[in-house]
Amino acid sequence: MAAFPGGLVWLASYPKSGNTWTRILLANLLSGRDEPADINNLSEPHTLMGRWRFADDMLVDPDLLDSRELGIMRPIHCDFAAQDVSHPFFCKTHDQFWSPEGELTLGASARRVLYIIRDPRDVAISFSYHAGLSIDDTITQMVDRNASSTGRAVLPCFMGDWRTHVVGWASQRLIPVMVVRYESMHADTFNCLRSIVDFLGGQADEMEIHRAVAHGSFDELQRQEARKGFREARPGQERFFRAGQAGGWREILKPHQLRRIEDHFADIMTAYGYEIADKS
Amino acid sequence: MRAPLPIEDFKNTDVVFRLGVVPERLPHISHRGPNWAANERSFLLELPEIGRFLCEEGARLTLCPAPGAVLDDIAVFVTGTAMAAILYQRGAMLLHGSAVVHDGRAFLFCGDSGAGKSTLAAALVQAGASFLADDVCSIDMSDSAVPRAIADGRFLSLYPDSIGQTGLTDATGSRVRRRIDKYHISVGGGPEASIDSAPVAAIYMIAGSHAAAPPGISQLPNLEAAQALLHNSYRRRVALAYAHRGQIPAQTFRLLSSTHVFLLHRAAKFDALDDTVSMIKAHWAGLR
Repeated sequence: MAAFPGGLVWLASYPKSGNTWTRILLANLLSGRDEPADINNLSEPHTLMGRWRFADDMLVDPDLLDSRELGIMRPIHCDFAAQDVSHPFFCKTHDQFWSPEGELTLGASARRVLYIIRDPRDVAISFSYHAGLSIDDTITQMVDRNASSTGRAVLPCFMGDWRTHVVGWASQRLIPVMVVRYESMHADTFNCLRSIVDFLGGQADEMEIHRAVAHGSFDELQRQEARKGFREARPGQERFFRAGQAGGWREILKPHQLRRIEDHFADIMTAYGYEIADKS
Repeated sequence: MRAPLPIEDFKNTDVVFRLGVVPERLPHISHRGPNWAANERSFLLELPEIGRFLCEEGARLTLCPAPGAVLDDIAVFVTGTAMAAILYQRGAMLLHGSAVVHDGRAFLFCGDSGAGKSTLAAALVQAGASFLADDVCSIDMSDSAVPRAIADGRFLSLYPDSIGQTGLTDATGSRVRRRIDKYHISVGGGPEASIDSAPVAAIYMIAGSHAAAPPGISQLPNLEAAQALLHNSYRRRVALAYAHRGQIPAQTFRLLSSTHVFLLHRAAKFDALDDTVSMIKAHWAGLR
């Protein structure tokens, strides 16, 4: 059966970049079962992004803390959780690695970081559907250095702008990090997952990886969501697993939207192999 | 206006509260978390920039405020976690939930932080029930045949959007904390406002609704009910640290032998609040 060393691994990404998909692939790999892992049972009660886990461990409700107090307590919480965990613990986060004040947001005790990057032009489209915002407003959020979000069940999340998000996680040297492109996962899920397993120091044979890829297929995720819903979907959101495509921006983004994204992010995009379209 | 007060009205109340020096560590630790530790006699909680709290032998509570911390800004942690530790040291059973009274019976609503416990309690009070407890609900197992939920003598605390939706603007008092946008709400009225405890008639676990779990109320089987009660213990890890005092399994068994635990799926939207209240009141009528 597939196995991973114990310890905390951050699955970090800007929102709508394939984080949940990666988590589902890893969950299927770990479960090693004949049937696909339940998308509604991905260890959410234990996630370090959740209000419940924070209140349960820290003995104080997060909504009674101001942002400064919460900012001090979260790394203490994450470091304690990382030191205390003996099983493989893949924890999703959309937080930046550094706070605006240059402090660690989630501590530095995790074993590994898997950072998932996606073409910001596709992120803009997916994020706009997810958040119910116009694409223009979504881009405004993606370039906002102070952008943050909150939800009913999750702690306030400081995302900042897309560029700082990528650079903060990918260039930090406190936790070994691997950057995976969503587009590469899309094009060759099997080999991507195999390199992820290697980076995480895990063991899985070909058959196990093939099975995890099949169980994490977009059709399967959409089928489960249609049948049972997805608890991480936003209230009122029709579908969380919407299109799962790469390159959809070519049909959807207007020239001014394309220009705005590329003006802000061109160097990072180029560095990660995303070709700049707007040469004007 | 009453000030927010400690939770429970014990016979011969004898909790001593003082400001003073609190050690940074406890000896002989049996349970610990990122910012707290417990041993047989004492519980120590450290909240950075807020203060250090020491709760001893179910009787003494010492607070050492952090430099610059203002007492009325940190009182909520005294009445919350610190008092809970004192009560657990005495063997109490506390649930993370709100409670209202209707026709002499107590109905509890449990759920995670942010689940909407207080908003639901406020809406039920507006619909004719009386307020009993907010956020933390103490269950008295002492003499009566049926476990009783005890009034916490406190205020509801709500966000402005909930205050507006439940029509409680006139009852709005001070902020829970200076920089937190959450307010004390005085809901002292209601036909049974003077009741200080009531037999627990039902406990509801609040959950969202979605395509596969439409709004509705279903009874939890006993094992799941017991798990849900433990999950919704107020400050669960402190409860576990002193579990032997209160004998949590025995308390849970007693509670479940006289009341039922229900899963309450409801749309987590304000405009569905009236429907949820109607659904709950219809359920109460059927519980007779």
